[in-house]
Amino acid sequence: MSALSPQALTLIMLGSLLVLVFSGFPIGYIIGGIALLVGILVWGVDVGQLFYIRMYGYATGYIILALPLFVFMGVMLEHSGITEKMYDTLYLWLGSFRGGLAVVTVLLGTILAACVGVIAASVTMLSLVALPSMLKHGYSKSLATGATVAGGCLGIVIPPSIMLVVYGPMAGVSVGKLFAGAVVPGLIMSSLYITYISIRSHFQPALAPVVPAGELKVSWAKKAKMLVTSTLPVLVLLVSVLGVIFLGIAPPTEAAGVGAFMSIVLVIAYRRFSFKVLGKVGLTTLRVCGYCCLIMAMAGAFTSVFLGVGGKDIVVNFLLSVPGGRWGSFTAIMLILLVLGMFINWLGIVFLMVPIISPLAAQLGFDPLWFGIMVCVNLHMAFMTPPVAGAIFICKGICTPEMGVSMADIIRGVWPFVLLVVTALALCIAFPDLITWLPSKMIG
Amino acid sequence: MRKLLSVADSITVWAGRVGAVSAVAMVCVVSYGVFIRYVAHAPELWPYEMTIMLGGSVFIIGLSYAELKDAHVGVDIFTSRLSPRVVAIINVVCALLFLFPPVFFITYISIGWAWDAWVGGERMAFTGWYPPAWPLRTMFALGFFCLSLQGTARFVRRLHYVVRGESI
Repeated sequence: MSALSPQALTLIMLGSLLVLVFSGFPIGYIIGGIALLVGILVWGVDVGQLFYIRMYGYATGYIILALPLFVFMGVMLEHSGITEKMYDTLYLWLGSFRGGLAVVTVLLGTILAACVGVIAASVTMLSLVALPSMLKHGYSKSLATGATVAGGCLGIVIPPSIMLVVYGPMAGVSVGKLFAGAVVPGLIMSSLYITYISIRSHFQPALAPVVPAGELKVSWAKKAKMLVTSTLPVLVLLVSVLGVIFLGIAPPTEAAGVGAFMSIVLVIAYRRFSFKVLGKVGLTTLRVCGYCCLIMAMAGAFTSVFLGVGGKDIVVNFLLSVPGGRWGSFTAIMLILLVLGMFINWLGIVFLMVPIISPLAAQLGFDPLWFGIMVCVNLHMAFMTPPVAGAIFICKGICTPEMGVSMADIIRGVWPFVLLVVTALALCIAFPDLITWLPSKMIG
Repeated sequence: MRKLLSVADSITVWAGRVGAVSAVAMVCVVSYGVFIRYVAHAPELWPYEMTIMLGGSVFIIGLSYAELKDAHVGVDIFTSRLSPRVVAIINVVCALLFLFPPVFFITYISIGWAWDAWVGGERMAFTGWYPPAWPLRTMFALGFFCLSLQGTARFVRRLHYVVRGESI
């Protein structure tokens, strides 16, 4: 052992991490570099084996392998053109209501969320398809971008979600049960968004002009046909992915594989398939997985070193010393996650924090499943909270200069939705059954 | 120098193609495994470990491909206001301190594991199929080697920019 006390090492590791994150250098390397330097300082060069073993362990964990498959599925669906089809349909059905297009955006986000597990995919699709149409019809930039970002972010909560795929094995909770537990909170958020949009556009009609009736003159038969043809493929995907998991037929990895395969079939059916598209989807999957792998492995090694030097006890003692009993500690955990989420990527947080907070939550008597969903809903807010808000960046990146959307517009539009997420969290605290009811009905 | 850098890039691009094929193959293998189990009622062991081998390859090859495509992102809220040259200096220093030590070290260790798997006949033991472990262990060594290569290439480019003030 080195001469440094556990307190000093804890401080060095966490302090240097929090400072160096702002260097702008890839966070995976920073985490890994700190872990290696501290590890060598304490145990010598053998600690290098830990890095390899961690990486090998994650990359060969069967459940984690659902991640590439869900990513593949999401990216493939981006190429299917299904988003445009669904948007056109929902637009005809709901465009005549005040605020209807923003409601359509959230609804579409909810449906997409159930098809893709990757946040970038659903935010990208909504920004490409729903946002231009809202702006064209004179919607306020803030409301339009807020609905796009918040609706797209549902993708990381509503199953299948890669955040839950990663959280499950880290905390020793079944991924299938986590998926089931996330359904109701996800739908609550979606309903809160829709309610908010409807009320706000009712009282401030200028924010969301009604679509001229002329644009919506389509026969009911045609509307009905469009509804069926655009939602049927989605239903097939939903059943083939979530159905088999909830019914206990297949584990998430197999369901993800079948979902990915079905997404290829869907692209073929929509006549958008080519080997060029397949190659592009493969390469995008590779890029996302490489990015995830670096953070997972390095954060995993960091946590091992951190636990090894005794950092866990220090953090746990701190959290337990917060006044207010178990709910005081719970609030402290949630606030820490929220603040970390503003700066560090969620994947890093899950790997750094879950090994510490998940045993602590169990020790405090919280249901692991309920706690897991609370953590994930909380972390999903990180995509919407500046300064580092992935979803806002994606949305801004897709906006063309002609749209004239500024970062401030988006941030102004997103804040109300962040408050709605907090409301949803409060509801889940008041009524834990919202999370635990559906998993308890699951078979197996 | 320019030539060496482009060789490094093209190695990563080729590794990326292998990885993309692995991703597609993985989708097919998992689906096939599900099909023979639930539809044909003739389950086999090999799809499980084949999935692990392909999926592991996707993760590991993805590392260098993400480096090539600048997908390993950091928090640039402060550095985006600095001049490109200062950013390059920060990146050069950070690479020396945080990228090279873990990446080179893991590459070295992964070559040892791959060597042992070849020589010692190590087998994977997730199921009763017991396939040899060397394909995946070798993939790991190659993947980390590519990451070292790509990381170095990136470093050289940035260093060049710091010294000469122009891109290479």
